[in-house]
Amino acid sequence: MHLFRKRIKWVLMLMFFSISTSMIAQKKAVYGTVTDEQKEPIIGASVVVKGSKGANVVGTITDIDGRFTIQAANNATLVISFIGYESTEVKVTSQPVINIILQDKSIQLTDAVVIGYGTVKRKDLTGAVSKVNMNEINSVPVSTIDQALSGRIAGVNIIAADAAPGAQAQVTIRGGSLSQDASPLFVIDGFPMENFDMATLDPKNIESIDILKDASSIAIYGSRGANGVMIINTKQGVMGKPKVDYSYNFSMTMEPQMPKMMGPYEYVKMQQEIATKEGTSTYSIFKSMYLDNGKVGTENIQRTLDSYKNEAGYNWPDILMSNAPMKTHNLSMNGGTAETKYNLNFGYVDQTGTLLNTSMKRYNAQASLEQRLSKAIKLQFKATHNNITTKINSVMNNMRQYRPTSGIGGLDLLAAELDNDMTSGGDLEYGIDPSIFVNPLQQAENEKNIRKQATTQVNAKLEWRFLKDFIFTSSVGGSFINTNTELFYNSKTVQGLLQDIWTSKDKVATRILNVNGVNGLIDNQDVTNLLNENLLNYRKKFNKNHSLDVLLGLTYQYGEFKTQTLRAINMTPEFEYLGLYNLSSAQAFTSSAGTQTGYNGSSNQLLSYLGRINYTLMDRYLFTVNFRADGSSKFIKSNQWGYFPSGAFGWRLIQEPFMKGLKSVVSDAKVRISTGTVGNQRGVNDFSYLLELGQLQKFRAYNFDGSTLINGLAQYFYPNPSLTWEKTTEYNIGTDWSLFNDRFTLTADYYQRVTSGFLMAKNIPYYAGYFNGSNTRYENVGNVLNQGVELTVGATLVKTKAVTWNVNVNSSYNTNKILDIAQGNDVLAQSFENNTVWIAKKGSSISQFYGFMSDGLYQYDDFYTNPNGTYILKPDVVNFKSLKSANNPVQPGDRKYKDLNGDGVIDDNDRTTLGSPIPFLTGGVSTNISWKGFSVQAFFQYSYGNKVLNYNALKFGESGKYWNRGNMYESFANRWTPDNTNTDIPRILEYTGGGDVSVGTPRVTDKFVEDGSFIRFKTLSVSYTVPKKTLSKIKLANLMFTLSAQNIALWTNYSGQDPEVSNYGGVNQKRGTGYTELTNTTSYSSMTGGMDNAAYPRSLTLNGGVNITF
Amino acid sequence: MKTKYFLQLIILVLLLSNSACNDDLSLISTKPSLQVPSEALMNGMLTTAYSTLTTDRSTYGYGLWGAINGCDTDESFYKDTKNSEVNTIGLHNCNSTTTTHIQESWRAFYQIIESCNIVIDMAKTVKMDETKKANMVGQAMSLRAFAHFMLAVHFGPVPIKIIPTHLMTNLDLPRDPIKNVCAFAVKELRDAVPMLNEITTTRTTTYITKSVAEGLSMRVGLFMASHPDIKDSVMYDSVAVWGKQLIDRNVHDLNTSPLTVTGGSGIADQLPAYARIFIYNMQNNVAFNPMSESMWDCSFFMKSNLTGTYASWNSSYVNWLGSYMGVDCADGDYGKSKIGYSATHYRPQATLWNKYAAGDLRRDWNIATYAYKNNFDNKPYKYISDTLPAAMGTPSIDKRAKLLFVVKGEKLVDETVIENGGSGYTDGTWEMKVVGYNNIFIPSTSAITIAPSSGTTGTKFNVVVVGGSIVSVKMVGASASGYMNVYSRGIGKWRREYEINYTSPREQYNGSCNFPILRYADVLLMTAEAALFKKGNQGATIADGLVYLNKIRYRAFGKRVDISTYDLAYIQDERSRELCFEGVRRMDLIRWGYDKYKAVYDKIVVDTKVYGSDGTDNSTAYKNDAGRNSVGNNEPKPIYAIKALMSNYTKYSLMPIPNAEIGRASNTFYQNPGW
Repeated sequence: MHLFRKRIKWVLMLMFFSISTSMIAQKKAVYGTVTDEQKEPIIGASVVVKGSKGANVVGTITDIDGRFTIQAANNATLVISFIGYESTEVKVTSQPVINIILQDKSIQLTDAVVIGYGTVKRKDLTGAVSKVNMNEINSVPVSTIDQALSGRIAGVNIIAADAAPGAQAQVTIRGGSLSQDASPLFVIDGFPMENFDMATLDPKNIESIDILKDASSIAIYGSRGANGVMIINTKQGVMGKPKVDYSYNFSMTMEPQMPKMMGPYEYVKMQQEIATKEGTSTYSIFKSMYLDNGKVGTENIQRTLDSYKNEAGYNWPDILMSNAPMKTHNLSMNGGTAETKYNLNFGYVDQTGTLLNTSMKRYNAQASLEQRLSKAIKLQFKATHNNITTKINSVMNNMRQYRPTSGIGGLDLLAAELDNDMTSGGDLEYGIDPSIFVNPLQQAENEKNIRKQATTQVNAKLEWRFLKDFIFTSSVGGSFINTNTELFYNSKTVQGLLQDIWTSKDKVATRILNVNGVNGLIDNQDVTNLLNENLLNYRKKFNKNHSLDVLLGLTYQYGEFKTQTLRAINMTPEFEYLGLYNLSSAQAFTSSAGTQTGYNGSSNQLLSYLGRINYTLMDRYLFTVNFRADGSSKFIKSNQWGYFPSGAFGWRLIQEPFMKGLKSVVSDAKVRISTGTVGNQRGVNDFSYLLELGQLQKFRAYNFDGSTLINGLAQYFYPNPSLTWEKTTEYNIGTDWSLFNDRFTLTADYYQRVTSGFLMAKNIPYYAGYFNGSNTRYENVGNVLNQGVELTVGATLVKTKAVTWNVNVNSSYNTNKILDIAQGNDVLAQSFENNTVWIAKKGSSISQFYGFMSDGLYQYDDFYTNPNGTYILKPDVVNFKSLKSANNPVQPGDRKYKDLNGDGVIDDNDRTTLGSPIPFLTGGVSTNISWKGFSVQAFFQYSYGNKVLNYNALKFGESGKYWNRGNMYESFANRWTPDNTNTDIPRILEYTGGGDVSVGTPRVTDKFVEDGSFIRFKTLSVSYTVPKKTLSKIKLANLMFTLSAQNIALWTNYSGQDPEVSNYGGVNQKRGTGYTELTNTTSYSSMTGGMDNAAYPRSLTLNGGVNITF
Repeated sequence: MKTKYFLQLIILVLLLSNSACNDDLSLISTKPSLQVPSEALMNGMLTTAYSTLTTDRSTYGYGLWGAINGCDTDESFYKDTKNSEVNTIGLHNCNSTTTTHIQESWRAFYQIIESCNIVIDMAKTVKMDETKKANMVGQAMSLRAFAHFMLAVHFGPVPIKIIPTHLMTNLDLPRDPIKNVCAFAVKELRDAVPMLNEITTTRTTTYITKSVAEGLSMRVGLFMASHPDIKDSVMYDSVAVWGKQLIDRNVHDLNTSPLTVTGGSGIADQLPAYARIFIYNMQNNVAFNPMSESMWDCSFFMKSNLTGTYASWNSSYVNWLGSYMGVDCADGDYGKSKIGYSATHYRPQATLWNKYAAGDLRRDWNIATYAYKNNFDNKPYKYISDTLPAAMGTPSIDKRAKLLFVVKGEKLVDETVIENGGSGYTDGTWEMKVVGYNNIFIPSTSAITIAPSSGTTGTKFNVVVVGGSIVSVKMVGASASGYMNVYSRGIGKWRREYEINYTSPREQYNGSCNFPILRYADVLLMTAEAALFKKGNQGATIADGLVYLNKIRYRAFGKRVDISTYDLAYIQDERSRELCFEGVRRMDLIRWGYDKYKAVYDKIVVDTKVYGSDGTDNSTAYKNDAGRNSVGNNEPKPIYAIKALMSNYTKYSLMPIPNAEIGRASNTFYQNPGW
């Protein structure tokens, strides 16, 4: 705070200085007000005497009533400007009072668009670059920017994993590749970052988001840009009076609708059916749990199946989910003079999840200062700290699965029965799953899974203008990301459960059901990136017709990461309340399985030369040539350097004489063509070429003398000296139109991009002799083609003094195809439980679901009945290969599959492709109506042509006893039984049957690969800005109230909760750490989308906010 | 003008610095890497190479004495062989596509080879003491040669891989003929001999020493000399020379003094000298004793105790010796066993039992004579009672009788072989009752099997004692109870009761028994064999061979029972008597050729009929374990376990190349014939 005050003082002092400078140049006082078209005063508009520059600048800014006073000579020209308005020039006449009305900028033709290492006016843009409308984004009640962005930008596909607080979204630009990480390169305030998590940013502090999509724009980022580049710049000081802005938002996310699970009656009935199947011992356990005399409350009653009809049971989702509040505060101060500009920002978000004990908290702080030292030299400093803490748990699945009868006072006597079983000396039921003892409420209350990520970025930049047309900028910066995960499972959690058992009647021993006992994990990852950039810019207009902008640059980036992992198991349960402070009591360091401590680290560096020439001829023909040479330490010496050229041509038709007649209709028209080659070295590990001997595991140790273990070093990851970055060559044709005085705008792009040599782990012969389990080596194995069309249309339908109505539509169409892959072999990707879910095939999309075709159920007609009542499948009916000679043959009511290869049996060869999880049409529609102080914004998002695998339905709707004593969807009551054969839900399987007939995991089946197309009414927001006149009375510069709603309605054929889902990754993926670290087992890529497995559901969020500017 | 100059200058500077694109941007890895080779790294890699011999069940933790080498022989069979298993691989309880034994064994040997390749490659640049370096490189060369040889024995033609993978541009390697692989191995081993330390320096049996390389070169050499497809008969001469050199150097000798040791039963046992090496194995004793018989042991340390320092280590790194192949102990209760659980999955063939002459102490060590009852009782239960009816008298232990029940035909027992009638019994005809358990013949995991008693139940036998010695044992009363025969016994070579340094409770299956890869008796036998066939004048003679063989016999019988002549057939049987279950029989039979294998098979068929089922009975008793296959297949398991090999010798004498490998090296790999 002290520093803060000091800084304000300094800023004020500098302002005073600048004002006094203008007094020296005094000629004559000119007064006036600056207002907008609605006559509302504009505060902080800059009024500068034209021609005054640098240290001698004469200028001022308007005050709270839009008034200004300036000293200017007669005939001097005043330049009045303010962000979002067209600048105006006014000649000083003998009139002492000048009132100025600034016009809204409807079309931002002269807006600066951020391109790599510079900006360009939109009209001069030759590449495909999308700019995000930050005004729209900021009215959306979300805690993280990625939630607001999806569907808003053509060509950018943002799929949130789910709605868990702080969950990171997967971003792909113009389709993906099959490589490990398909997300774009993020450039945060000039700092290129891989594997960046947008959720760490404070949306309120973002000035601009620009997305580079085509090769000509990307090429300036060389070896790292191939997946597209997302440039995010945070707010900077603007010249003007100090503007203090405070906003507060309160929102409430409503308890989501959860699928209906079976109630007690149906559940117990199902358990009875299972127990009957499994034989007498299981049945007797069932019976004592559910049917025998049992104490209900204080009463001892004889229970029957019907007793459960009137029991409400426990609706776990309902118990665990609730309405969840979120609070957001943001305070910023911004201002400056021509010499000094500053911006300070503080943000705080406190979000509670709809699921018990899940939350997200984020602190953001930023300070930036820009100081002009002389006419030639400007210095800029920026420091940002983002700190995000997310808390999640693993209950989302368990709360569906957990039996509705359990719990305090319930009718379920499971725990008592097991105690009894053990007291009587019986063995604990074989294969008992500790999760049956822990209800999801207890789990949620006790599980600790906390992830903290702290990002600090500091930056200093020097800008030196010399020799009139040259600008030299040099910057140094550092980015430090610390990701810390803490897990703690006490004895009340499934993962740390301890259970007393009786070895004999009088002997009690604490036996751990979970061999790890009370356990915990601390994982800490530090990523440091250092950057130095030196740019030389030459800008010159030679005469009216030639304009040249040349950029040369040299950049150097150094990155290193370190991880430390500490896992402790079997901590003393007596002190478990100490949490991780109890760590030292663990046996972790002396015994037991697995790696207990881990340390890893690596580093890389990148040296780059870059150049760009923008040449404009007659303001009509635009030429861009880009070049970048990247040298990366990730490769062997001979492969370190890569060269990435690109070029673009733009033709501003509007400037052609033949367009002159159309001027009243067409206000701008441009055609763009570009091509280039870019790289992606993301999939390449540091030291990819070098054999690093690792895995100091005890298993490599050897006992030479009979008593001492000597550690061994092993060859583990295959180095590949010939590895190189994957290369993407792209062609883009685009056009920009602006009609009817900018009332309608259109941008359309067609692109074709071929990614060659994409990186994948390839199986290599075992005789190569390494120790990694999959025995794979990263190689450049194949080529992918992406092509698509992007369309963005904007229209100002109504524009009167009182009312403005805008509509913006964006749409992108993308298809992709594997041209070549791993010598023509298909690549399969697995998900949970090693279940194969996806396939990548040559000639098809980069990802398709892969599985069986359902053919109804086996019915009685398919069988001969034996005299003893058993069923024998008729020989002409298709059978499972694995069941041909098995003791448990296929039975009526089992799911039947199509024998696609016609060999008479069902096995893995009968799988086929079942559609792609990648949508081919995505986009959104936003509309904005403003009337006086009111503004209404609505946003619709859509996705078409994508499939979603409803894994929940596979688990909870289909496969009988998939978990021992697990609950199922209510719809499962309509399963096949001898009395209910006319159904498509199979019979119950024995527990040993597992997920499906003869397999332990459910079969991926066409029935569950559903159309995931949707339209979502995502946002509706109404805001009211109090008129400035009213405000001036209460001494406020601005006051705005907002009411908004998010996730309002969803139209889809998908039968699950939400088709916008992709939660393959699980809860502890090391994402967003600022570093790409590959292992041989990583399989998260754009291949593994569209998986709906107990996702954290989205629901309606209502929000109210206030924004005050002092 | 000035502007122009400046611009040009800047461009020039940038262009010049652009030529810096040739700069090496490499960083130094913070991990141990080949950027900076060192002695420590070489040591680490060599340790891993040794360790990999233990790091999978498919090597010396199980496969090389069990799944892969414990079948197809006249020594042992896998008693859980099932009718549905239709080929050798199935009989080995593994399967060519899914089970990992074959694939993992393949991988493990190539992992050893690669670690050694890296050591040898690093040695080119690492500066260190040259003697030390030579010793390390010598070990790497020997290990690499041994791994290649093991691959050739099991898989036939395999790639010789001596270039480290990280230096290869094309990863496709052709399969080299067996002959070339063996020739490579012999050369490497011989080249390594002068580089290696003597065991008198290393003082443990875990390192590859001079004599180990010599011994291994003899093993490969003999394989080359005798294998029908190689027939490199010059190798007989070489082996005779190398053998004599090694023997005459006098650094090894047989253990000849008996051993007194207290096992799990708590009773101090007097054990034959022959047992000493295997007790040492079980006790992780790798110390070099003067004139050590052990030459190279594969050392295990990972006991997988439930608690304690090495608790719950991955079971891939422990040895199943003693449990999968061991003395029956029915105590399957996880974590409670006092003696050490064993389900005796591997069983001796009667053919092996038959090979032993009376008085050969090795028989009752190799084929266990007792089982353990359960976890409450450490007492060993002998398969034949030494608590006959009290009235018979109780001679001292060394005078007691030894009987073997022989199952033959429909009736459970109609013949009892009296191995040794004993002395000191009271003359007369006595009634003895033998109680079996659960109609099951042999110790099963469920309970104790046989409890001979003089009680009122059980099968009645009349025991006739004449002159203090049992002369006849005849069953007189029918009973459904079962009796022991050879097939029902466990393999007693490595006995878990002698394990030391474990903490209670003990893991059910996992132990840390060392495995003897090479020992001196083998050297004596190999030299004697080579002496029979060598052409030249160098090296060991047949006379020398006789000396070597009598040395083994002396130890076997505990006294001098010399032979004065020997032939190949004698060697073939003696190797089995001495080295049974040590993972070399299958290799031996293959190198002696199809005819020998056929003879072995025929013998098993005969022996099984004498000592086991006659192939007609389907009664419950025969269906269990060692008896018969499940319904529908009349083949007794001891026959069934080798039958597939004989049905298609070309195919089954080699393992299949793992399917995954053929897919991964599709340009150069092909499947072995018949698979």
